[in-house]
Amino acid sequence: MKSSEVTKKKITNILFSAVDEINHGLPKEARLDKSPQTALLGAEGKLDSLNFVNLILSAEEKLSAEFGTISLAEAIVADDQTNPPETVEALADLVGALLEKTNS
Amino acid sequence: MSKATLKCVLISDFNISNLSAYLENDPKLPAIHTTVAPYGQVIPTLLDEGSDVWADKPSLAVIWTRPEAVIESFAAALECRRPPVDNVLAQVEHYAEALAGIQKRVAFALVPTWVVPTYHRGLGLLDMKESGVTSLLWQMNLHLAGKLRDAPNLYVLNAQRWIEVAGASAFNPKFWYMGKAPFGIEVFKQAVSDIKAAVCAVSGQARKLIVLDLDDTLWGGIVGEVGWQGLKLGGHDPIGEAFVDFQKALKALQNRGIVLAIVSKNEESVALEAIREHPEMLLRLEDFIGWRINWGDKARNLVDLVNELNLGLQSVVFIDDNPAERARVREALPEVLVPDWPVDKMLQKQALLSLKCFDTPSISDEDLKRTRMYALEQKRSQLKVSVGSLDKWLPSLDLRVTIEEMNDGNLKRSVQLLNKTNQMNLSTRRMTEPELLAWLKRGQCKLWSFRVSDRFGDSGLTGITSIECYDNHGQIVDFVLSCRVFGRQIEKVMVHTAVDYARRAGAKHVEAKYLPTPKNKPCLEFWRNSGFEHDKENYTFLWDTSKAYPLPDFITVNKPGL
Repeated sequence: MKSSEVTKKKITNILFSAVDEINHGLPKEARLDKSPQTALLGAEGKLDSLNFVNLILSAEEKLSAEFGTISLAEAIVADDQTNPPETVEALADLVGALLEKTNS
Repeated sequence: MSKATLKCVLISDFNISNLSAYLENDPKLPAIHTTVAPYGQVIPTLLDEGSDVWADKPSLAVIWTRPEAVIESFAAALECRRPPVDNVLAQVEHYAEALAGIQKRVAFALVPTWVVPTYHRGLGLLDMKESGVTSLLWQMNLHLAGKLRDAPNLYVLNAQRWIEVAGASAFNPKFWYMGKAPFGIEVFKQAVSDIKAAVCAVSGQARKLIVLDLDDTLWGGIVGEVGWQGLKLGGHDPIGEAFVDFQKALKALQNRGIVLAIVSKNEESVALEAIREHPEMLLRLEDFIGWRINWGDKARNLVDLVNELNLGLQSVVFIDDNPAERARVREALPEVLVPDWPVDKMLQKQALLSLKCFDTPSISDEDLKRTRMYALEQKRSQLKVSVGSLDKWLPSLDLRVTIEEMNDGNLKRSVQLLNKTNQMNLSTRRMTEPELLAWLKRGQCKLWSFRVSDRFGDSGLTGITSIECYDNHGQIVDFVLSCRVFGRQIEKVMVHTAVDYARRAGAKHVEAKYLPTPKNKPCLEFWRNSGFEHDKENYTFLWDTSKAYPLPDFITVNKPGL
C-alpha cells in the first residue's frame, strides 16, 4: 500500500473514533455511521452546528496526537474555506491536504 | 432505581447543549429530560416565576455560569483591574439571593462552582494575593456556598474536580469561539456523572452497606495459608501501607453513616483472630455489623446477611479483589452494586473514595451512630433468644417513645426517613424539606416524629406519621418506620397518635391507604393485623373514631410540649 494510502486509512480511522465519541451524546436515531460517505452537514447531514464543532475539535485533538499539531478547526472557519466538508471522506481529504501542506 | 424520567431545566450564560445532550442520552438511570432556558438569560430566568421554563414543573434545575458573566466585578478582575474584594462578594450575595428564589419552584437545584481556564494565570506570582484572579475565585465560591448552606434543596457542586479529571482537554478556546461552549466534552461528561449521583442521593437511593472480602481486599495475603502474622498490612511496605489506608477510607465512610460487613471464604475462627489480633488492623470486630465467613457461595451468604440486617440488596456495595466472585454476585444479585476493582492494591483507596453511590443530601446524628446501633440490635436479639416468647421479650426491653411535632430540630432527619425508607412505608411519598413544609401549612395537616429508646440504648428518630383531616375525615398520609425498630409495636404508638389527633379534630373515621411497591410488603402485613377494617380490593384500612386506638401498655410514651 502506498504511504499516501496508509495515511488516508489512518486519518479515516481517527475520524471514525471521533465519530464514536460524539455518538455518545446523540440519541440512537441521530447517530452517525462510520462510513466515508456519511453525511455530516448539508441536506443529508444529521449534525447540528455544535455537534459539528464537537466532531471537528475531537478529530483535531486525535489527529494532532498522531501527526503533530494540525489546525483543522481554523482551516474550516478560515475565510477561504467557503464549503465546509460535508462528508467524512471530504473531511479526510481536507486533513490530508493540511498534512501535505505542513510537510512540504 | 426509579425508571421515571426526571424533568430538568438547564440555566446558563453559555451554550449548554452538550450537557443537555449527554444528560438525555446517558443510558444510566435515572433518565433525565432537559429544557434549556434562553441563552444568556440567567438572572431573568431565576427571577421570573412566570418564565416558560418553569411551566412544566421541573423537579431539578442546574444553574451553571461563568463567573465573569454573572459577577460583573470578576470580569474586571480577569482584565487585571483589581476590583475591591468587598464589591465582588456583595455581587455574589445578590446572585445567591436570585438562586435562593427558585427553591419553591423545583424539588432541588444544583449549582456548579465557578472555574476559570487553567491557562489564565491572572496576576501571576501575585494571583493569590488580594484581588488576584485565583484568590477572588476561591473567595467567591466559598462565599456562594456559605450563602446557600441553609437552603435545604440547593447544592453547590465542585466543578473544579471535573476540570481536573478532564485534564488537558478541559479547556479549548476553540470550543468557545466556534460554539460558545467554554469546556471540552469530558467536563460535561463528568458533570453528568455528578448530577446523576445527586439525583440518586436526593431520591433516597444512597447505598448504606459495604460488604467486604478479606484476603487481598482488606489485607494482603491469604490468612488461612500464612496466618495473621504473615499478612501484608501496615509496616514499612508500600502495599501494607496501602491496605491500612484502604481501611482508613472505610472508617471515614463509617463516619458518614455507612456500615460495614464481611463475606469471606475462610475459616471463621482464623479470620476473626486476624481481625482481633493483627496490630495494624484499623478495623476491628466492632466495626462490622455482621459477617458470613465460611466456604459457601458468596451470593447466598450476602443475601442471608442482608436479610439478618433487615436491609435491602439495593443498599449494598460488594467489594472483592476476585473478578470471578464479583461476576458471580453481579449476575446473581443485579441490585447489588459491584464496582470494578483495581488489581493494583495501591489503587484501592482511590477506587473506594471515587464511588458516588454513598452521596446523601444530609447526615444526621442517627447516621453517625449507625454502626453502634446495629451492635445494640445484636444485644437485643441475644436477649430475645434467651427470653423466648415475644410477649415476654417486648416488655423486658423497657421501650420509651418520644413524640414530637415537626420542628427545626427533627426536620432534616424526618425528611431523610421519608426519602430513604422502603419497607415500612405506607405511601412511599418522597419530598424535599420545602415541599414537606409547604404541605404542612395546608389545612389540618400534622406530622409527628417518633424517637425510640430502650434499656440497650437510643435508636434515635426512627418513625414518622402524618395525617390530613378534612370533612370529618382523617387520612393517614405518611407512615414510615425504620427497619431497625420493626415489630416492637412502635407502629401501634404511631397509629394511636394519628387516631387520637383525628378524634380531637372531630373526624369520624381515619383511613390509611396502602400504595404497593416492590419493597413495602412488611407495611401491608402490619396494617392487615392492625385492627383496622380492611377493604382488600383497594388496600384501604379504616378506623371508626368512636373508639380510641389502643396504646401498647409496656411502652412509655413522652410527648414534650404536646
